[in-house]
Parts: sequence; structure tokens; C-alpha cells
Amino acid sequence: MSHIEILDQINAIFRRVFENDSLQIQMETSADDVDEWDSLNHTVMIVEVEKHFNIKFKLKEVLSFQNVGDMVNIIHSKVTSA
Amino acid sequence: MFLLLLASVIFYSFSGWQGLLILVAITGFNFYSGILIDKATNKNLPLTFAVVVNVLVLFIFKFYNFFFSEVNSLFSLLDITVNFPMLNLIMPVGISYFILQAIGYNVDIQREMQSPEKNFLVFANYFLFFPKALQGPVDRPRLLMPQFYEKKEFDYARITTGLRLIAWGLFKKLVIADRLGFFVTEIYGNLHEYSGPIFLLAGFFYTFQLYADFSGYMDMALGVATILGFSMFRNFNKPFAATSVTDFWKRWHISLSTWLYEYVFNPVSLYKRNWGIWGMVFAVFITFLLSGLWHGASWIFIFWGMLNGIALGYEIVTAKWRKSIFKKFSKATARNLSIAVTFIFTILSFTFARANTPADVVYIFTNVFNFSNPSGWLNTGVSNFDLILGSLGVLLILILHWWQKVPDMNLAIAELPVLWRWSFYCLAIVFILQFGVISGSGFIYAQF
Repeated sequence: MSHIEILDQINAIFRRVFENDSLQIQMETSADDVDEWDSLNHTVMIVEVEKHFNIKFKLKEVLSFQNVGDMVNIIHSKVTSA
Repeated sequence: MFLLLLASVIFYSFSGWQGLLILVAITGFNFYSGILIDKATNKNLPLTFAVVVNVLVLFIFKFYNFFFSEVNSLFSLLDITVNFPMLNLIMPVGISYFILQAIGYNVDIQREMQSPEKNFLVFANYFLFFPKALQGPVDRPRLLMPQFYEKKEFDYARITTGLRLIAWGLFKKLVIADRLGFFVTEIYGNLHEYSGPIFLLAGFFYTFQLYADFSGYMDMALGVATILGFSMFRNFNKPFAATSVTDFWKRWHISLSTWLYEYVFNPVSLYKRNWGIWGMVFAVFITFLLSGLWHGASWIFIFWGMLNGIALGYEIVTAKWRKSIFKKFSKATARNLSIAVTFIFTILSFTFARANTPADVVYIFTNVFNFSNPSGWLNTGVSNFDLILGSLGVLLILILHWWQKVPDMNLAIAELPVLWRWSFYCLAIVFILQFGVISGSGFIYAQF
């Protein structure tokens, strides 16, 4: 699965969790760019991403996410090594 | 840089060499623990050690007597003769703030968000930086530490900006906070002589006293730092315009709230993410329980922390429901209603924190609607001058909160023609000297 494919699938999750059908995320998108992205929704989003890709993030990995790109990179490394 | 460190050391030495030596020892410990964590293959082990040592230091100075006096009481209730001795230690100035920054520094290195500082002079300057000694802000090393490497040059505009910040802070502290303090101290110091809605007024005034006292100190600390060429965390952002308790904690003591978010709430809520919404409720409760404990070693602060934890937990659980309710109102009505409810909670919460004992809290809340002694409600012995001046101060704070787009006053004054500007300065100094309480009262948050 390519980075772009992962980003597309994450976008669908973001739209659902953040209740914003027109949301279009990029690799550089961070919590500052999305109004609905607060600490509550962040945790819900992480759980949804883990369920969708059938992976489990380490606590240190989640805490290191600075933007969507960081998350995509880690998902990519997990799904390709699985 | 050496002169700055010397200034900080002299500042701390005013409160005793014993405390200074302890802070220097903790500084040395954290300097080496940071390097050790960075070098270690398994960073968790040295990190755990560093966190335990820091927490232990705080425990000994702040919580030991409270904890073991409660343990002694429990044993005596059970008729067991064990008596832990009480310690007679003087708490080093600002140690609560110091330890939080030390823990944050070590964790950031473990998370690879911060490189360990190799220059002890820079490291000691950051930890002992005197403008943040008494009450913070709880500045992050990654934001403040690099500034010690920058070359500082004389800058007239920067210095006058700092001086104006100090003047504004002095005004809030001496004219508003300490005036309100007369009334608040009288009521809370003699609770059983009063009853009825005067407790609401005391809680209302205390809320503004605390804000003016703490934010006044912050402005002075920021002013001193600005003069020296440093920028620090802004700790307040119109807290009384908060639309929820969650929002309030994003606007009040921001450096502490964000510290708690980064190092307690976020890791705990993510660790417990499989609990769904209840994981977050659990995390927020633990976070505010710790916040309450950090504020003071007493049951009052533990309950106060729990009260806030419950309020934030409620907001998490009812977030969707409240959103759907507010959709039925206009945006402005929903906002104003939210601000009013949050403000009432803030007064209740601070009333709780200001009371001396849990019994006092019970007395206040059971007598607040006792209307049996209406003549005594305002017969407090506090002069009308203090009450009127304090009330005008409250009004000024509220106007600055309600004003949606407050212009940058500091900049506005700087841009005034020279004659107007200096007339304003003279007037401000006379006003502070004339109406300020120049008695050298301490800062409320320094006790934490």
C-alpha cells in the first residue's frame, strides 16, 4: 500500500470522526489546521485508524506525531512489514 | 550569561542558602540525568529514575508532613501505636515549578523532542532564571533554553515594552488584587461571623483577586524577561471569556495546563484509548487530581482537583449532547450562556480552593442562602473606598474580557506622541502609588 493510498483512507476516517464531509487532508496537515481536531477527537481518530489498518501504535509513536505525514509514515512501515 | 546566573543565584539566596543549595543540587542532577537518558539504549530506565528522584524531592518538601500526619491519624484511629515524625523543612522557593520543568525536560529527551543541554551554564540559567522563580511560567526547555545562546543587545523599544508590562502588572497586583484582598481576607478569615449572599460576593471578588494577583505577577515576570531579551510563555488569555471548563483551563495558567496535557492527560488517555470515551474521562480525572495535589498538600486542594476533574469528565461525556442543545439557540446566545455557566462554576471552584478547611466549604455552601442576618451582609468593616476601588478594578478586567478585539495597549502607548506618552507614564506611577496597597503582601500563587 502506497503513502497516497494510506492518506486517502485516512481522509475518509478524518471526515467521519471530525464530522466534516469536505475535509481534505495533506501530509503536512496538523491539529492546528482542523478546527474539530481537539484532544477528544484525536484519541477517537487514533483508535479508528488502528481498527481500520488492523495495527497498534506504540505510545511513543502516537506522541511523536507532529502532522498527518508522521502518522502515514508509521502506518506504511507497519502495514508493509506485516 | 554568568552575570545572569549570578543575578538568579542572588535572587534565590534571599529566601535562604539552604533552599538555594537544594535547587542547585537538583539542577546538577537533572543536567546529568538528561545526558544519561540520551545516551541510554533503554531510555525508560534512567527516565524512571530521574522522575522518581524529582517527585521524591517534591514529596519530601511539600507532601511528607501532610501524608504522614494523615497516616498517623489513621493508625491512631485503628489503635496502632505508630508515629511517623514530622519534618521541619523550609520549602525552597518555586520548587513546585522547578520540579515540573525538570520532569518535562527529562521526558522530552526520552521522547527525542529535546537534545540534552551540554553547557551547564545555559542549563543552570534556564532552571534558575529568576523572573520565573516564584510562580512560573512552567516554561518548556525547548522554547526557553535556546534563547540563552542568543546575543542580547541594548534595545530601547524592548526595554520600554518590558517596563510597561511591569507597570501594568503592578497596577493589577497593587491596585486591584490587594484592594479586593481586604474584603476577601475579612470574609474568609471570619466565616462564622457572616452568612448569606456575602459568600457569593466574596467568591466573586476572590476570583478576580486571584486573576489580578497571578496575571499581574506574570506581566511583571514577562516584563523583566523582555527587558533581559527573553520571551516566555503567556499564561493567560481572557479566562473569564471561557465557554466551558475545558476552555477555561486552556486560558488560565496555560503553561501548567499544557504541561499537564503533554505529560499526564495525553499519555494516559492514549494509553487507555481502548476504553473509548471513559479512557479520556479517567485521564482527565487523574490529571486534575494531580493538579489539585500539586497546588497544595491538603484535602481542600485534592477535592478542588477532583471537582474540576468531574466537571471536565462531564464535558467529555456530554459533548455531543451539549452541541445538539446549543444548536437550538443562536450562536451569540449559546456563547453567552456557556460563558455565564462556566463563570459561575469558576467562582464555585475558587470558593472551594480559598476555604481553609473542608468544614469551611460545607459552612459556606450551607449558609450561602441563609438570609437571616441581612443587616450584617455588608457590614464587614472594610472601607467603602476599598470596595469601590476593588469593584472598579473588577469592572476594568471584565471590560478587557468582553472587548472582542482588545488593541495591543503596550504598542498603542508606545506609538503615542512623546508628550502624551510621558504624561501617561507619570499619571500611571502616581495612580499606582496613590491607590495601590504598598504593604508588601505576597503573591497567592507563590504558596503553590
